[in-house]
Amino acid sequence: MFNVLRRKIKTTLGRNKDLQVSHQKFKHGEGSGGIEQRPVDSSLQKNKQVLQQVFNNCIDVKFREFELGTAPPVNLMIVYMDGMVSTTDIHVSTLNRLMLLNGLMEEITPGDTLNLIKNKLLPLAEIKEESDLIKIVDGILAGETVLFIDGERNALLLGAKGWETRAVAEPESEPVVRGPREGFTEKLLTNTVLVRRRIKSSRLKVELTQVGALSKTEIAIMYIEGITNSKVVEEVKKRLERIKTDAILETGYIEEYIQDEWKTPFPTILSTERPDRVAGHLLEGHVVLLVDTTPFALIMPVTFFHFLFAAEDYYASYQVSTFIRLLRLAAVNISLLLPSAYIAVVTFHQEMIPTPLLISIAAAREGVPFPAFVEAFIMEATFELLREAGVRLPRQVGQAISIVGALVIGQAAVSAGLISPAMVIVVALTAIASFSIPNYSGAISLRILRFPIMMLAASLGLFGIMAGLMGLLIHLCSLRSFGVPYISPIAPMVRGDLKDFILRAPRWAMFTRPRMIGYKEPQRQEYMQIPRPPKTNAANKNNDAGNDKK
Amino acid sequence: MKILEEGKISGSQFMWLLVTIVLPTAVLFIPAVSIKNAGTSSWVSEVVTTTWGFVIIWISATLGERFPGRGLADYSTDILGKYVGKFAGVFYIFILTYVNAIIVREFGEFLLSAFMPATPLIVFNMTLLVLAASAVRNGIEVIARMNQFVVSLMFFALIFIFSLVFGEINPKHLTPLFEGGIKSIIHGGLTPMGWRGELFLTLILMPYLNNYKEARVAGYKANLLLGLVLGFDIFMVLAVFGKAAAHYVFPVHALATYISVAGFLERVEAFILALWVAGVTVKVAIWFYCITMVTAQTFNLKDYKPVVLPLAVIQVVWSITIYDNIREMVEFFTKTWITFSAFFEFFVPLTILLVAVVRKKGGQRG
Repeated sequence: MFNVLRRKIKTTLGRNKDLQVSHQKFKHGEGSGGIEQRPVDSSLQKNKQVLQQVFNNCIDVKFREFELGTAPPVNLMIVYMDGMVSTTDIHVSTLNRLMLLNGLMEEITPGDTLNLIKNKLLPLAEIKEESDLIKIVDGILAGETVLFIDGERNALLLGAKGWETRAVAEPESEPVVRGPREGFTEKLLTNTVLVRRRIKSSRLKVELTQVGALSKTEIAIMYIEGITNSKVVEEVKKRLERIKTDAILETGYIEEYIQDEWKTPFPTILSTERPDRVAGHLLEGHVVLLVDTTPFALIMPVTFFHFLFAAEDYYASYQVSTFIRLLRLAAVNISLLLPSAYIAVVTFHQEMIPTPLLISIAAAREGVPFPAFVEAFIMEATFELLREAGVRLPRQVGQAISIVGALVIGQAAVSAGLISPAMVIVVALTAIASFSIPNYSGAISLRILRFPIMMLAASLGLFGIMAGLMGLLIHLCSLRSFGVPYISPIAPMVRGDLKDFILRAPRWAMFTRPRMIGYKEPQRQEYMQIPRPPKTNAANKNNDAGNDKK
Repeated sequence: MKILEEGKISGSQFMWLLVTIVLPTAVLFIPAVSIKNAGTSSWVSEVVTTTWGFVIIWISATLGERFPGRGLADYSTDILGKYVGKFAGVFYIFILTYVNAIIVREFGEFLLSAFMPATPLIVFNMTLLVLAASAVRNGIEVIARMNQFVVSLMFFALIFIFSLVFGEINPKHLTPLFEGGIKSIIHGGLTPMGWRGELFLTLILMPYLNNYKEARVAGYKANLLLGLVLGFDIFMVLAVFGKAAAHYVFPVHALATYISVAGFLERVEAFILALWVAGVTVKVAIWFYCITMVTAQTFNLKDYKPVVLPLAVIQVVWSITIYDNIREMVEFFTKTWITFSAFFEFFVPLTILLVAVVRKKGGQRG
């Protein structure tokens, strides 16, 4: 029946002739600026014409013609994107060197200008010869400067990129008390450097691909050779190649294209702003994608529990982080279940509450005109609205939201008798719990799931909650992230990986890498480096004491 | 040959599946039945039941090992000939569906009487089967993973109950020790054999193991673990309630109502029952999976997924109409269940095995 319906929808959509959309194929990379592939012409003026045609109405592309200061002057031209190049490089290293050559060189052989310029005159590290005009246009768009030489069939691409970027700052979405304060920026190169500084090994590979017909976004695939499962790397590359779209503006775009299962509220790819976290995951055998123009990196494959861990768990002592992880586990349960548990208990299982508490809840609920479910639903929805408004609001008016939230909705709703105080406590607890889950996308999926479970609780009580949770469990068990089972350290049970799970073992005891991910090179450190005091005998001690006295 | 599934499970996953096949319902029903028949020697009668479990596992594993990687309904045609073999397949579809309907009803009835008396039975049965069906559609790997999660919850719940009612134990309830002698011990072990015999599903689940040779050991381990847990279960119920436990339908549930810690943690049985729902969902899912597999193998289907929904509907209806009321169900369990279950859990597999041995069908062994 569903198949028939699906076919029907498909044909109806297909019949819509107004939509000029080809369902079959998307023309990917239709050439830059609509020019066909052609070589660089030996005449400088002709090249200029072509480029001016290509960059018609693009005022940010600058053409600058000048002469090489040799005895018979050679006509030169640089073309660059204004604002995307380093002006000092252009002025000092290029124009200055080429133009102020008066009298220094007596004579040049006509065919040799290019080599002369490339090898002797331009003090720039990155220079490429290029004869393909399309690649030259791409280069200009990516911020490279092109030097055309009259009479030469090759142009020079000068790597003098330089544009305004945000400085490396503290990652706002993942702050830590203890730990590095650097966060990724919007510039790809800065980001790879931030990672490379943490893993100074040639085994850390960085591969570059480009996605997006118009945006031509550069994506760096990072992995450590020998630790990362090469099949996963291949799979990541394959999935990236499959993306045929106009633009990638954020890692979220990529995530939705390459995740294993799209019919799930749970994120199966971890995003982070922290280079130290990326390095930590690389060392455990994950693959990392860094995307130009966004400070968020993608880490894959991951399990559900990676969303409950923060970078700081590994910097604090193991007792502390174990305690914090236990707290977070409680937070997950509270944020998912507390409102529904309240509904179920108040509506169906009053006998579960101790009598004095029951009486006070009942007294508080006496004046409330709504059933518990409606009450909870209103409050939860209000809270979600407040949260969303708080995020989107300009900073200056942010205070207004907290006043409205705390006073008007909290205080007034209770004193007006619309909402019971117990409900306010429940909502507040849920809110705090959901904010203490370190990963935003992980927390938000739990927040969404809260609502269906509330409905189940309102209709079937605890049995409903349990049924909902079982459904959730079936779903979680069927999820995979790049082949790794989503709730992997517990199901399937991998006993070795429990060392870095809810309980975090001390550093010296985390002897192996997670078996599900970094199994290719399991050992990561020397066995059993238990810290212990140096072996001293009583005599030595006495001697030391004696020495001190002297 | 054809087992219709790519999913494979490991030996330990298989063992926990076997535990879940028996435990969730057995732990609720067995104490009352066993105490009724054997009095104070009832907890010893688990020895008898466990021995029976070993026999069942031995038969299933021996038969399964003769045909590695093949399903029961598939090789039964080899052993018994085309027509009788297919009939054995159909017989098992029928029996497994019937038993699963009983299990669903059993738990629906339990929820109804102990939990939400005003709710129609069909709500519980349907929810349970919808969940099970979606698990079955996801395949054996997902069920096995779910099970690993749920088993820990069940054991947590059991330890929770038992440790909190420890103070209620009255040693006098345990005397006279071994009342009624060996005869009474065997009598007490008879009815629980029906539950333990459910381990015969080894036969159907074996082809889905990574290494079929692990099945036998995993089965024995599961059986031993079940014997210990259920023996302790009966012991605790007996120690707290004495012979009066025979009058309860669900004595473990009654045990949970006894819990009272510091005047605050009271009446936690609803919480415990909620955990129990998880166990039964997995149990029903495993049975359901076996039904689906036998059906698909018997009728040579290419894909097992289309039969899941129809089978679920049949089971929902059957689970409602199977008994008129809870008394009839208890009557069935105390009187009919043992002979009925022994037939399809013991005699039929044994017969197939004997025929296979006589006709020298399959296998490197024997």
